[in-house]
Amino acid sequence: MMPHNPHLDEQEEAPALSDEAQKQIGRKLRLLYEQLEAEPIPDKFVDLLRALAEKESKPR
Amino acid sequence: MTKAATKDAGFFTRELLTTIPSLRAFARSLGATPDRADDLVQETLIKAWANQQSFVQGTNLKTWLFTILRNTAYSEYRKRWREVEDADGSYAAGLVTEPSQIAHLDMADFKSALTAVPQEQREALVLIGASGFSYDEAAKICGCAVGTIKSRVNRARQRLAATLGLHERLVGGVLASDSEPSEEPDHDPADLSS
Repeated sequence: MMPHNPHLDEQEEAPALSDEAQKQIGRKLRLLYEQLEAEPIPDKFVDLLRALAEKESKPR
Repeated sequence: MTKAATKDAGFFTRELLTTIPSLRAFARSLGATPDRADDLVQETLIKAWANQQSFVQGTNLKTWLFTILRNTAYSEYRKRWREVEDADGSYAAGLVTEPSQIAHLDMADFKSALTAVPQEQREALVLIGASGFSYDEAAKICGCAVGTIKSRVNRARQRLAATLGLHERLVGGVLASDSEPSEEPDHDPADLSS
C-alpha cells in the first residue's frame, strides 16, 4: 500500500489526468464492478423477497 | 390491502430483485467481504420493504436503495473502517471475483490500487464511475454536496493514477501541486468567535 499522502487528500485543484489515464481507470473500475454484478443472485434473496411478499398479502 | 397496493408490492418486489446485483457490487466496493456484503444487502431489502411507504413514487428507487445500504453499512462499520482502513487486507479480500478471461494481473494491480483510495473517495468513484449514478444522485446517497462528490471522485482518480503510475505520462504538475498549501484547514477552528 502507498504511504498516506495528506496533500493528495486535501488538494482541490489537481491537474487534470490525461484522457488515457481517465479511460484506463474508468474501464478497469467498470470491469471490476461488472464482474461483481455478474455473480448470480443467491436463492436466499429470492426466498426472502417471496417471504416478505407473502407475509404482506396475508390478512392478519 | 387494496388491489392497487398489491400491484405496487409486485412492482416493488421486482424492482428490489433487479437491483440486488448492483447492491451487492456496491457493498463489496465499500469494502465488505462477500459474506458481509450479502448481510448488508439482506438488511437493505428488509428495511426497504418495511419502509416502502416512505419511498416517493417517481423518484429513483435504485438511489433510495443505495442510500439505505450505505447508511446501514456506515452506521455499523464506520468506526471500524476508519480504524483499520484495510490494515488487514479485508477490503482486497472482498474484491475477490470469480475467475474469468480478463487479464488477472492487470486487474489485481487495479484492485490493489483501489484499496489505497480512502473510503469516501472510493465510494464516490464507484457510484459515479461504475454504479451509473449522476453526481446529483451520488450526492443524495452520500448525504453531501454535489461539489464534494466531484472533489472526491477527482481525488480518487488522482490517487489511483498515482498508485498505478499513470501520472508518468503527464508533464509535471502533480508533484508541484503537492507542495501547495491545502485550501481546507486541517482542523476546525476551536473558537467560534464572530
